[in-house]
Amino acid sequence: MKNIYILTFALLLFAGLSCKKSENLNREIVGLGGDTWEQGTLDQWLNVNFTQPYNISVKYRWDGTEYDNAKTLIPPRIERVQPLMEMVRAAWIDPYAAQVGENFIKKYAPKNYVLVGSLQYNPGGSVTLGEAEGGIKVTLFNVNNFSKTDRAIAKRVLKTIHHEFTHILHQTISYQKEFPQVTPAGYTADWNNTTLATAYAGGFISQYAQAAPNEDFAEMTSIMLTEGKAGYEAIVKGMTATAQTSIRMKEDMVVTYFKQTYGIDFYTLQNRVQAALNQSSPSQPNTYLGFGTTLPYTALHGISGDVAGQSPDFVTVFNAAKTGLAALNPSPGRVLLNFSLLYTAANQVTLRINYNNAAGASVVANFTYNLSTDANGAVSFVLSASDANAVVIAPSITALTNYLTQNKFVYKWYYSSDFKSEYIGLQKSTDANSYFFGVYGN
Amino acid sequence: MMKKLLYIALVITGFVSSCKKDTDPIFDDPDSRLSAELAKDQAILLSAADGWKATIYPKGGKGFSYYFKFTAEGKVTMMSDFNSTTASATAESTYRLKALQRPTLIFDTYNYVHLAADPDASISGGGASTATGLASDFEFAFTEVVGDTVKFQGTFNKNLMKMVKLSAAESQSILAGGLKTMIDANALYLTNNKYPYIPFSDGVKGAIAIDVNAKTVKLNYVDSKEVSQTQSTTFAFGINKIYLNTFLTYGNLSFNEMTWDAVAKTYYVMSGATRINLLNSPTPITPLSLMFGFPSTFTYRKITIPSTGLPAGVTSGFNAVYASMVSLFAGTGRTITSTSLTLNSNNTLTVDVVYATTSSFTASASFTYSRVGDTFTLSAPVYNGNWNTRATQVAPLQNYLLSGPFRVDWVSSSNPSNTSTMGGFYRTADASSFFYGTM
Repeated sequence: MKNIYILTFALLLFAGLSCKKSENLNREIVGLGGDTWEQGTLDQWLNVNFTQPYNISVKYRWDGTEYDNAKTLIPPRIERVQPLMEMVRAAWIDPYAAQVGENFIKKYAPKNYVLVGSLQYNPGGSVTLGEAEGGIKVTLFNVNNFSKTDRAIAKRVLKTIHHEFTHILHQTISYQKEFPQVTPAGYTADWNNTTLATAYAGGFISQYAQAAPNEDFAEMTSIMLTEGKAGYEAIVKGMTATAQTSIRMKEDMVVTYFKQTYGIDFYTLQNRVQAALNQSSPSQPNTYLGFGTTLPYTALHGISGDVAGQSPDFVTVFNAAKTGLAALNPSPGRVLLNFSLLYTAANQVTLRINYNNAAGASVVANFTYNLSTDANGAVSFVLSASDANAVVIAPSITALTNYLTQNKFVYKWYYSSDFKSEYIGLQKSTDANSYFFGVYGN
Repeated sequence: MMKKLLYIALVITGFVSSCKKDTDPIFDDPDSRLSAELAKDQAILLSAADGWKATIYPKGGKGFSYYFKFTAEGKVTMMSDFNSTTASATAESTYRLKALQRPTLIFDTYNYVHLAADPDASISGGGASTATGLASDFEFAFTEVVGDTVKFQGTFNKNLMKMVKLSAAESQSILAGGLKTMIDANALYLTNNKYPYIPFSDGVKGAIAIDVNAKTVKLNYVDSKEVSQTQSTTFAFGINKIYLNTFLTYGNLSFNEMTWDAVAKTYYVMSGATRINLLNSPTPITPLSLMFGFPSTFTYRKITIPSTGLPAGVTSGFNAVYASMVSLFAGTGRTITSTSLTLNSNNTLTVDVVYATTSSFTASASFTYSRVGDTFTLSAPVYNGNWNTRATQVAPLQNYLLSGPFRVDWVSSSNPSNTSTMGGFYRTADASSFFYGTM
């Protein structure tokens, strides 16, 4: 009897408690998938250039959850977004993609770009231009002041991007453990109270490079890429011999790291970045080339019609000079090899013709020209002196010397088609299709 | 016993099992309701066929009016009285509605509404050290809809924004550059009306000071206890209007806008149905005696005759006195650089004559003064060495100073190019003669 009671009790309990709970789980969640808006031309452009190929989202519209709440910030001007991102694409993504393929960017690039109109002002009075979080999100500030044609501004933004991207690369596979040992004593948390001169003296490429080895590595990489070979050499040239030794060691490690870790030829990458930057905001090659102890380069070498990429106009001129020299009497059979431009004195340049004489021995002939620069920066050549060999061969190479003296030229950057070489050239100021270039050096 | 237990168990089971596990919300699903709310808010924004006029008075100061026209495609066209560029050309950007804590209108790309919020002080006119702009907003939560008015509260800085539907006429006027016209008209008004005031019904004059740079309007009057009272508020330009952030009040007159009469070229305020035009005074409305005194609570304590001589366009018996002093100095090869009267304490003042040959000298006369209301009585002069040396030259001034007592008051000029604020010491015996200079 007792058992029946208990049994009944238990049954009742079960029956009572097992009540039906039905919930409709097959419900659409409203608002899932984030913000949506009418897709404008800019949205489509970003989609085609960043989201589809690289799975990178570019958020230019204000989203209060993305920023530091303690700071006053504003959204970007819509018309500044595309020029900025065009430069990002051309001078960051495209060089890497061309070098090691699109998958490299897909694999390593930060996935979220957030754009902010103003600078981020920090309590100490400094300003932030860019910020990266965990290799995922990069915030770019100061978009409203961006100008694609202003090299200083373009370079600053690009440096931020390359800097943050370098962090991702070295966090994935670390740089050499010897790197922090190059200038171990120079790292300081107080880096923002030092001058650039102190940083240079300590063997650092920038003040921020002194913050930590990671920053040093990222600064080395980003500055070498954005300054280009010539710009970088100009910085190094201003350093003391000890500092130069340190910088060169770091440079070697960066180059080796990129080659060994990712199979990237760093100098080619550097040229590609420069080519893209020079497309929209060219630097002046003659700020690096010319006479003077402060300039890193004083000569252009190996100028010849046989180098691929020279303008057809110049090739004709060069070949005419070659033919003329070969036929020069007496003792015909001289072979024109190439020529150099040597900046040997202020406002003067020496045209050095390298050729073989009939006997096959190499000979040089030097023509010295006075240079004058007009208000638009175009340079003219006026002959001032010729050495003995030059006097002899002058009548045979008038095609070349007339080309030089009868035109005005402006300085330009040129690149080989594989971007392994960067050249400085002179282009007729009146005709962009007539130019020649050579290897800059000393 | 067993039975009792069983009943208890049954009752308990009954309670336990009487569950109703209905999870359907009483109203609709909250997410759906939220998106319905956003759709409703979107419809409100689009309901103004001729756009909206909005006013924001940011925490950091000033006030701004805006023209907004929203499109269904997420675009918004703006104009603003922020500066003459924004007042004369439209600019387009984007907006979106989002459910944050509340349904929120976000101006999500840069436009005129962001100018006041820009941390770049050179753009916003805010503090450079704080880098917060004028602490304005561009994310606004809907708070209230009343008729044609929608009210918002800023998310970041909690500024209030009021948005009112525009009429077709007003909309066209704004798009045709009406805000710029108003800004220009106001500038011209301020040039032509140096001391505008409201004549209150009891005879008291309420000085109105419009500061275009600080975007403030100040009402100042002297109350029945002879105490100067000031109310200040920020303003924004509208079409033929100045909108005030808060009401300015005197007695039972209270107004939060001043209307511009483009024909009469004057402002007026409405007291009920009565229109009160602002009038212009040649001198400041607040008596100088309330602003002139030694303690630092007073605005002025010095009257100066500059090196260029007496201010132009004033007729006073003192003109001849000053002229004779100048010629006496000139006769000795000296020129007067400046003459000034300065209160040094609550009972002493100094009159300095700075003169020069090749180097500069100061002749000083110190007086003890007693003051009753606006009247100064000078006594016990003490002269310094230079004053005694140049006794002949300063004699006309010295005699004049001893011919008091004087009443301090404003001085006006008949010459329109003389825009300086001037005050003077009027002889109580002869109001047509007074020592005067710039304040």
